[in-house]
Amino acid sequence: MNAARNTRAINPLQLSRVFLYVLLALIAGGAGLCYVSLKNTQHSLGDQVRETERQLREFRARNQDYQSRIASLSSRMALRRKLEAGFISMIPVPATAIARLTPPAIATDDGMMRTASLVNPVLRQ
Amino acid sequence: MRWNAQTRIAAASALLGLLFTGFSSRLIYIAVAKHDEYSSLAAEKNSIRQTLYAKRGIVYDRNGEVLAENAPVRTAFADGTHIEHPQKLATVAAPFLQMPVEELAAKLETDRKYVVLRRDIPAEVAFELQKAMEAAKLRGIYFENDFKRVHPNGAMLCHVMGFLDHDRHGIQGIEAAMDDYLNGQNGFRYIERDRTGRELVVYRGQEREPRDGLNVTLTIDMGLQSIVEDEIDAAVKEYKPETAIAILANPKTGEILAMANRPNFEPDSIGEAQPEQMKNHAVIDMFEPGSIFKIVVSSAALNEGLINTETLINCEGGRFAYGGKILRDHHGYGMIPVHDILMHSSNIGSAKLGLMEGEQTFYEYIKRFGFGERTGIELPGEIAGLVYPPAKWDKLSITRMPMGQAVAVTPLQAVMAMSVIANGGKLMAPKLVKSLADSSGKVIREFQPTVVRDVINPETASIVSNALADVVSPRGTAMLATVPGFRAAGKTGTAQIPMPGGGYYENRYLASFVGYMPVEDPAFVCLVMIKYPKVGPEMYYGGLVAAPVFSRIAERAARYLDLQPVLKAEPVTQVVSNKGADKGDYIDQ
Repeated sequence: MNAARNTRAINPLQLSRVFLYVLLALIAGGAGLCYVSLKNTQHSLGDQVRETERQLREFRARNQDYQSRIASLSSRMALRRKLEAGFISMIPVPATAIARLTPPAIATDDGMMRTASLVNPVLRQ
Repeated sequence: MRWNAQTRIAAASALLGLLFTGFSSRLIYIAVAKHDEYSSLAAEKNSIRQTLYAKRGIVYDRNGEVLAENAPVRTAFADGTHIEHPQKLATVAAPFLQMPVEELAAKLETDRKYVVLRRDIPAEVAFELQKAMEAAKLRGIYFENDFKRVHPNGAMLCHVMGFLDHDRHGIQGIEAAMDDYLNGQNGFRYIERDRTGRELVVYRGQEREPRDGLNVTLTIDMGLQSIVEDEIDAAVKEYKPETAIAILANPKTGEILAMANRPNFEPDSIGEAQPEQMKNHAVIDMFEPGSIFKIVVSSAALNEGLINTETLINCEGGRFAYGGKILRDHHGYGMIPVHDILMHSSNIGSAKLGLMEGEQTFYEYIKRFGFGERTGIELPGEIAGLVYPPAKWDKLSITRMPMGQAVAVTPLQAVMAMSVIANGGKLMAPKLVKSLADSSGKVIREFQPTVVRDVINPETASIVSNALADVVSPRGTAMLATVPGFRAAGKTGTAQIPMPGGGYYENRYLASFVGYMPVEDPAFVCLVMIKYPKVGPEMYYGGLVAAPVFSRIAERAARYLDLQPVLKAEPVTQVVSNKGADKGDYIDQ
């Protein structure tokens, strides 16, 4: 009898309750870890976004730089410089070497001039 | 009181409870009551408004050739809140930013978060500086993407294109006139940085995307512009004038095809240009037109029915007394029709036509031809010229103005007035902008030709045109303006240059020629104006100085435009005598 009374006085471990607290602690800890992990993922994704945006900006800037250089290198002034430097040469076509297939239209009905660089719409019909 | 175990535990618990309540209260006070204050402090410390730059629109000529483009560069700025060692940072960064160390250090010693250090830094230099700062474990200098305006054709078309100021706003030329369209709208983004200065993307705040500027297509044809620039350069080399102007326009649409001024400047090195080089004399300068103005008085007399092609005007043998002054012609003429008045550029004949019309009618025609009012071209700073109303005229005005004295016009007005004759009597509004398109190339707005008014009827225009065609012939004053294979028409002008204080300079003249070609179906009107050419005596006339330049431009333009010759090409071999009847100093005192 005494032994049984002593055992009750020790307040034996209630496993179910311990399990519950451990579970709650694990859930809380897991939630915390998940939060931290998500936060880290968010930041690393943010870094990737920033890096991708930087690369995109770089590509756009490089593209713009190339466009600008192409415009400069293919400009009339560049062509003139090449001509003056003797890098290229142009020989004017003599009038006798030009064969006219159709009489050139000086102006269309709407009054727009037909320049040499535009395709004659009459010839395309 | 007895301190047994229970009492001690209760006291300790109460103390701990009070302590944690105090902490909790403070925490709640900071987190709730002081939330706004501390969050704004945090934002001020870490948050920054980042500008997202809109791309400025590109300018093209009518055939899609690039006239103004953007080159990417970096703008270096300092964030004073991140700088710990300004002197050390200045020593590292100064060679890259090409600034004196002391000057840079002074700029870096700041608490401001955004201090611009230098603009237009090439991307490679910015990258190298970033690496150098990382190696020295320094921070506080950052870079923004920016652009620099580049003009692939250099000084060509510089007065039409204009240039930008430091804030990337156009302050001259098309860049200024179309600034609202070209500029677009910058965007922004609120960002936060960590302690190393890197952006924390997850804390991005409000943002607005930039809206790129519209691309502008001009009516300019760079093929023709190139021709005009070449020939104006040759004229400047030959005559060494004070200024030289050439304009090429389509008389049927009012489109400006080419426009060149000398002196000129490099728009990409604007800091080196002098103010005089930047002036677009074609629209901001006015001059006495001289005999070019005779087309107005002749057209008015014909259009009002005061004369016809058969009517003979007495040119008094070259000497006409009026208002106490003697008016002279270079050669003496008797009774001649209006055709010959124009062909020989008779001053007396023109004065007689003016007298026939009367002050009010003549004044109305001057206005109808577009003089004395702005043309409305898309260029800033255009002036209206100077045309006084009849109430302010003196007794001699009615005889002086028909020959282009006592009146001041802009070169562009002269071109548009000649376009009236070439265009069957209709005055067109000059146009420099053809269309606007967005960055994807979709045309947003297209500008159509605008008829300002019917100035004269087509029959009158035809009569005047025939007379002007004979001006460009061995019988007229501008034989050197002839173009082999084509019939050209035009009018010479030679005017003395007025002095700022009144009166005229001795031996300083403005030689001009404005004409069009082909007469049968004009494709272009061209004005050439040479101010104060350094030539020999009696060689300063428009027919001798400006007309040959017109001829060369017109010949090359005809070839470029693929115009079909209507006449058998015969080279001009005849030596031209001095036919300068359009001399400006024709009023004897």
